[in-house]
Amino acid sequence: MLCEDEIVSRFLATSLFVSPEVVAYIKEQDDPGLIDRIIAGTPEGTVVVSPDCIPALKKVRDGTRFLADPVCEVLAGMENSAESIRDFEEYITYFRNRFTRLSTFMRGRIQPVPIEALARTGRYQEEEVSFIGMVSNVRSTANGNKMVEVEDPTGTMRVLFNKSREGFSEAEKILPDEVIGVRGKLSQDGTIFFANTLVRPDIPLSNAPYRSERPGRAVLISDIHVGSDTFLEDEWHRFADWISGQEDIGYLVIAGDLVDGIGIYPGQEKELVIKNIYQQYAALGEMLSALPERLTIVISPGNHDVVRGAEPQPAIPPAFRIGYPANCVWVENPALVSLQGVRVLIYHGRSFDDMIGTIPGASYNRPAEIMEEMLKRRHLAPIFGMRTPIAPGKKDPLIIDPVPEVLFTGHVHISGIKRYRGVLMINAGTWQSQTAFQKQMNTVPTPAQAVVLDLQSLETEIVDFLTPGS
Amino acid sequence: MVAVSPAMAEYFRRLEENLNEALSVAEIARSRGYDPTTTVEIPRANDIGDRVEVLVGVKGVAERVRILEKEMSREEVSLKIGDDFVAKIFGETTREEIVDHAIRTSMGILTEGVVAAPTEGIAKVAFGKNDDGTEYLKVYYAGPIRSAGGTAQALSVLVGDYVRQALGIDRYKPRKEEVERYIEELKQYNGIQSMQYMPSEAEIRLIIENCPVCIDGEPTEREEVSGYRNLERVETNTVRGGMCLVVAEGLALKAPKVMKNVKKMKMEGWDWLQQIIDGVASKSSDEEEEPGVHPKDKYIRDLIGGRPVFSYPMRKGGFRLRYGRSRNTGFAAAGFHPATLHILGDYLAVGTQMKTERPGKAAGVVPVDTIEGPTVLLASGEVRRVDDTAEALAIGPSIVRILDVGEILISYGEFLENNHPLIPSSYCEEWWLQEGGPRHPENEMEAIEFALSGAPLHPDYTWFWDDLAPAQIRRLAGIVSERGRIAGDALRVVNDPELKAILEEVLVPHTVEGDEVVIRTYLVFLACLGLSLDLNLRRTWEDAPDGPSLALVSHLSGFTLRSKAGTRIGGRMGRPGKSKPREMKPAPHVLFPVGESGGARRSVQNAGAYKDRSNADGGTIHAETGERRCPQCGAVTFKNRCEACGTHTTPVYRCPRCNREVQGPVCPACQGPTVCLLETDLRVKEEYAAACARLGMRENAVKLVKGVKGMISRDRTIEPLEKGVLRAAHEVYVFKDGTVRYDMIDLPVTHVRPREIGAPVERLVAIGYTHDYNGAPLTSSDQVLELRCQDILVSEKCGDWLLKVSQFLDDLLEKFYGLPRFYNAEKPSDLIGQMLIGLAPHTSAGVLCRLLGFTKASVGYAHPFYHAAKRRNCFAGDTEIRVFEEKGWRSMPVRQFVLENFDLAEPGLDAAGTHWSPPKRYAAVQAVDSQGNTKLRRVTAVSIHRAPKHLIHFETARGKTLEVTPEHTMLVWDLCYLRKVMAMEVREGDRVPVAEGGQVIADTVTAVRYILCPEEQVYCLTVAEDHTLAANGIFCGQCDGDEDCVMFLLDGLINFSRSFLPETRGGSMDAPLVLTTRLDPKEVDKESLNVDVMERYPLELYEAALRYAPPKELEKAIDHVDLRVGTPGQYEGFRFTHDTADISAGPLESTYTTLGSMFDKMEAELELGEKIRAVDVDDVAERVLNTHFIRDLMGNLRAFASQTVRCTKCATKYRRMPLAGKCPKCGGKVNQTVHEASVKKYLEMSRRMCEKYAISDYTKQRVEVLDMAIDSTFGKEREKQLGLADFM
Repeated sequence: MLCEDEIVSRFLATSLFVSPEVVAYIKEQDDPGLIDRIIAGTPEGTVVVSPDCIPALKKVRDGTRFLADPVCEVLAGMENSAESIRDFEEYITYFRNRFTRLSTFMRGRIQPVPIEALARTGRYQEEEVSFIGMVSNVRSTANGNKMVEVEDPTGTMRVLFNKSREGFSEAEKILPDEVIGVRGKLSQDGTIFFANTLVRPDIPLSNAPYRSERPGRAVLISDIHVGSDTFLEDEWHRFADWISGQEDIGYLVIAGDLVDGIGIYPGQEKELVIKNIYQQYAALGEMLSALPERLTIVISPGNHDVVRGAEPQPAIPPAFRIGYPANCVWVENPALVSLQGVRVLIYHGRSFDDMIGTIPGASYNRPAEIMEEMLKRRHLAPIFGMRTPIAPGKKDPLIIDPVPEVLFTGHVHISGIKRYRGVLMINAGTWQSQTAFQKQMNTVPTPAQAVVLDLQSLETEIVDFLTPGS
Repeated sequence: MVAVSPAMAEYFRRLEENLNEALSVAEIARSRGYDPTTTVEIPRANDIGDRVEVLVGVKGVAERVRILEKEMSREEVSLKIGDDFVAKIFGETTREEIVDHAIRTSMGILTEGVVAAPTEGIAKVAFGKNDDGTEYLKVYYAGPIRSAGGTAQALSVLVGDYVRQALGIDRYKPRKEEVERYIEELKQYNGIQSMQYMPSEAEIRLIIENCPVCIDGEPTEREEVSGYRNLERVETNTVRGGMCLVVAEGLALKAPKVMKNVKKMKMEGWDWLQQIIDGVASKSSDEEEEPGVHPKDKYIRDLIGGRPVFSYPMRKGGFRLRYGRSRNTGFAAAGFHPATLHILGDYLAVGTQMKTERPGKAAGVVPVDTIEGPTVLLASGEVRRVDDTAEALAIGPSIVRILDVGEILISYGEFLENNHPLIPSSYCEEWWLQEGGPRHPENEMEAIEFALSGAPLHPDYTWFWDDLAPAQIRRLAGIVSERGRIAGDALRVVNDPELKAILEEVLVPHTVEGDEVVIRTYLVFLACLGLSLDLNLRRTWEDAPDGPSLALVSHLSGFTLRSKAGTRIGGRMGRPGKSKPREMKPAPHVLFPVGESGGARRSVQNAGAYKDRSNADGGTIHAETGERRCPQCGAVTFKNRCEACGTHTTPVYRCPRCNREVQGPVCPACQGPTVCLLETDLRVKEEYAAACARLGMRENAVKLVKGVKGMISRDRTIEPLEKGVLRAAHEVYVFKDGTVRYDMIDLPVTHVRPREIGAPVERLVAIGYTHDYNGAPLTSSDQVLELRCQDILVSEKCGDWLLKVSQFLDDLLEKFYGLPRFYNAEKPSDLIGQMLIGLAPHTSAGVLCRLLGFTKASVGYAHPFYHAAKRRNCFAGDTEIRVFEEKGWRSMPVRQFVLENFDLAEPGLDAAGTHWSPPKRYAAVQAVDSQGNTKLRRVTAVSIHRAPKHLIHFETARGKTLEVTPEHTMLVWDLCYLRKVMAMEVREGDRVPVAEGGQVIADTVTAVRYILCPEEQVYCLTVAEDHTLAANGIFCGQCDGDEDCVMFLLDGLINFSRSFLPETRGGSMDAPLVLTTRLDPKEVDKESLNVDVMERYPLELYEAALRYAPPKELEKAIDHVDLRVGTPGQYEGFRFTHDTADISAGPLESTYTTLGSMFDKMEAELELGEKIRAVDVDDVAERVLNTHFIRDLMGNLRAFASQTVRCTKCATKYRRMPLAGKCPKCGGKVNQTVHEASVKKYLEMSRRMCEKYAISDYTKQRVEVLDMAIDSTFGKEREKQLGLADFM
């Protein structure tokens, strides 16, 4: 078993610094020879060894992509793909699908045995083994260690993460219902597993984002909340004026909470200027109709919208689309959309509420950090049973697969942009000023911002419409 | 010594004698060694000192408390007692012990020694090191601290500081990150449970930086903080609920009271409190001081389907206020004419709670037949007032509209208690008599004569003129003059809709004959309209004023007229009454483990038939019991009595870590907790056979004896199986503490008639009732007796139950203990004069009482003192919630706020169980929404003093922790509403409302640490469960307040044992840890001191009410108990203003409980609403949709897609579907906990209501949107529309 210090010092011995990602990779592979091979393969003059230097690791995206015509294509989450729940038993299929697919992402890195095999036979005792399981329970022990109950279809196992081991900070972030791989040793009596290493499905280090071959820009916004008394109408008009002048912007993507809705929270009626749900949508329809026709507008619902709360949420029903321009593409939540080959995963972000409450140190002010946690887990809403209702289906639509170029969310009303292993994470803020609720919770939104995404360079720019003239 | 008359002294002597008799029997029984200990475990306590001593367990405290109490107020005593501890006069050895005992003792004193806070609310004390090397004091608060109430919580910190200074320990100097941790943690806790008050960051910072004692706590929630983790001096990352309560609801909210004590005791280092007081004060300054009163709709804000509204706030046709106290009103009970109760659909039965607009939040319903009944419109067009119960029943079907629901009798004391301004009374005879009315007029002519000779017009002939606009009066005069004629003793007017409508407002009785309206009492009517007997306008019309109406008719008639309407009070149905045996679920006969092999019924017989494998002998199960050893022969057993030598055994404790035997609860080597545990192969079959043999019964004499799954107490003490066999034979069930109990709603009564309580006169004379309340010898069953304060009446059903229990006890004595039978009762009335123990929910002190008789109603009637002695100020009321609290919860029902502004400095203000004092001023605190939207509003689910509502901390299947404060009241779903229970009574598996994302949904409690919604006038104190308190993610409810239970004295003395009580915190709530044997009005809940005892209210009251004077103004003029405290008059010589023929008149069971499905209930509610003039039925429908149905639909829809699953075989619950698709534990089938049908259950009804009633578009669209969401979740095809009844 290699430890981090050892890896780092081996590199330092040859005057090389090493990036944490490489360290993690080597640890996962658990192959001491690998270090030498990496050092050998490192080009002259390298100061920091980055994942590019790992011989076996080539960036896998070759840049060929068969583009559909038109250039905006809905790859997943097209209208009417969300199904109703026929049978309660579908939850079995659903979670098994989640388990199976997420474990596949880890299989190259660990060689898991079934839990049943661990517990039944004595041959794994005292020997380092790995297995993959879905977390059913997490708790802290009296001594501050983490005790995690995991299960696979064959059995359950208790896994102890010792707080003094390296990597414990990741173990502290273990969430219920995520799928993890662990390597370590089984206790004498076979009832507890002492974990050395925690492995997550994660984005492959070799991930290289696709970039559009031709120029093009998209604007990403979310959480418009039309109908609310805090909807920023003037700012929206400034935005509309601005976008009309930006000839090279071909796409507008909206990640949910199009309108404020009705009955979403108690006493909402008092905070609405448009109390009729149909009129709320009609108002947005008018606003979108005023935008240039060249825009392809991708519209995904959120928790304030008129559709069911359980995810995947269906697209806004036709009864509410009256008065909308023809260039609207109605998708579900989540949805994967290819814009000139750049794949944008749109997810409203209900699960932020659960994850922020559960991950130590997480804050509504830094949504991108949470998005990173989603990517590591390759899942948009790992926690089941809290605030994010999930409608089961044959496949888990919340799994992040394939790896998109852009993960785009909203919900928290605070914008944030970050990159993780080549994936661009964008939260686009809101078009609603601070609400009474937010005031009470002491959250300060970042309203009236639009994120402009250059599809060719995957660079972003935030345009602020809060103050006139900016 | 308490001041008593010789007669009362004799009464107390008799009680004492009976008690001693029972005690001697119990002592012999216990000495046989079959029970956990050989002595009676309920100690007697006569005063606070005794109770505290017993509760805290420090010898000698009682005496010191008594001495100190003579010199100073109770708050001062609670601090001063600290000096004694520092001086080590009670034998403390270590500093920890000194501080620990001092704080617990003072908490005990502050809470009257009745709640569990002193023992359970403080986990421990410890010392920490400041960064400068000095030491500081840490107090670890636990969940049950909630039961203490904010003031006592805050004062406990003060006590800690007092003792700390005396010991020379330095103050706490917090590090920066520790302060931030407090802020984060409080915020997070408030999110989980909604506190009554959430201090601002600046306030928290101020408190923590300056408080000289470190307020620490045990982890109570499931959540951990995310920011300030792993701090060196903070032992846990988990949220500490007790700590949060003390900081927020204690120090922050009660800063003024703490300040008062600081000043009185001249303590230093607390000046910073003033900043909080100033800060808080400036916030509430915008509160309006209202002249007069305005309609208040709070009581109908959270409408639950099926509980009808009887009167909208201050609306015409609503309940008319009449001042007075009947034998059975006062103390949060209001009187209604039995005809009113019947005509309002029989919804209000005796003992039903009614939520009221004012003066308090709720009132218990009792019948009083000397006030006015309702006025109704019959199908024939006739309008008549119904003052006769038989008539009400007879005309019931022909009523088309209830024009006026009649009078409500509320005593002056209720206004005083609630500090509600007096409001004008409806005009009544007792008022008229004092304004110069000579005597009841024989007829209309005489009434007119009296009026002309100076008195106002008699109320019987005063119509509702002020309900008419002056223009209507003019119009009416015109119509009558034009179209009327006088013929045959009556005024006849040609009918038309306009005339009829006006007459139905002025409520003059009339009939319709042919095309004419006939008014028989027309003289006053004509005079008031300014018409002469030949129906011409009289000259008084010439200079008639424009208005107001009353002045106009007074001018026209020349009479002095008073308002017949007075003030109308709104009301709706609250919780129905309850009277049933206490049963745990599943209900055991005996505390004897049967494990899984007893099956779902926990059958001892089944366990006895259990076979490990086939062909084995069977009858043996594996069980965990306590380990006990015989001191005589050393045999190890789980039994309380050594089988070999018959000696009583003692528990053996071992440290599980060091694996050695130790004394006491803590291992001296590793400081870990010890256990008393013996893994036994329990030979159930043999044990059962042996038990039957010993009792001389055949094994199949009883079919089913139910045990418990496993033992949950610390010592895992089990009961002798014989007790279970006997209980099973008599069909009674045991409660967790070894006793059998009966729950009843509590109502006050001060006088009774032998006839109405089923007690023979001779028997009454024999037990001391020799004279009636006027001093005449008791000879007839119609005489009125003044009830002694510890005598109670129970429902007839309870009487039957008591009979069974007495037979069980007799058998137990005879067959098991080998003692003579004690009760020998053959019918319930044989039990009159037997001693019982009364216990209120969530208290730890029982009250000794004597059975006096039985009532037909499903309630318990007892003296207000008795109720007050048990009262723990819980909130009363359900929270209906919302909640879920509303907070409470609520939601849910949650509910509520409480007024907080008690003047702690007033001496003697602590009420039993809670800290209470009269409000300094009329102040509204922040209200919490009991419905549940918790986070936005502060709900409290905590116990509060004034309003009933409540909780404990729970964990739920959805990962919430709720709390209702332990002492808060919590809400639990009961069919379609949240029942309040103390948080401590919430059990695993109960469904509680939780708020998620702004909605309230039902969640299942998976672990109980401790919930709420208070309402009513009762004070609430607890927050028990609430956590939800709500809220808190969970809503807490209010407590039901007045429900309590009775058990036989002998049962308690023989069968109760502390060692049966669960090990968990709060386990000792609701157990008779001490017995109060004599009631001292000084020491009971102060509410009872506001019971007025006059025979007639003075004229001043009515006049003061016309000015909306504060009730305090008349405090001295109206005789009430408070004025008599300390004199023999405190116990007797009470009078009442209104008599009633039968305290059990009216419906005996509420329609609410007899209607089956919610569909029927809703239908009936709306149908009744349509009939009542004072009710806006469209609004009722809309409110029910909003606060109940839509919430339920939303909540369940969400719950469906995030539901837990449960194994159908072993009942294990899983947060989500296991990957294996079956139960990982036992391989059983796992099933869903939320079904499609339960999601949809109110959908069809909601849609129908939207069609039928004038519902706002907003609400209609919400239903529409939900309908779509449900379609998209479950698919379009609604193959068949299931009947609603399928889901209920």
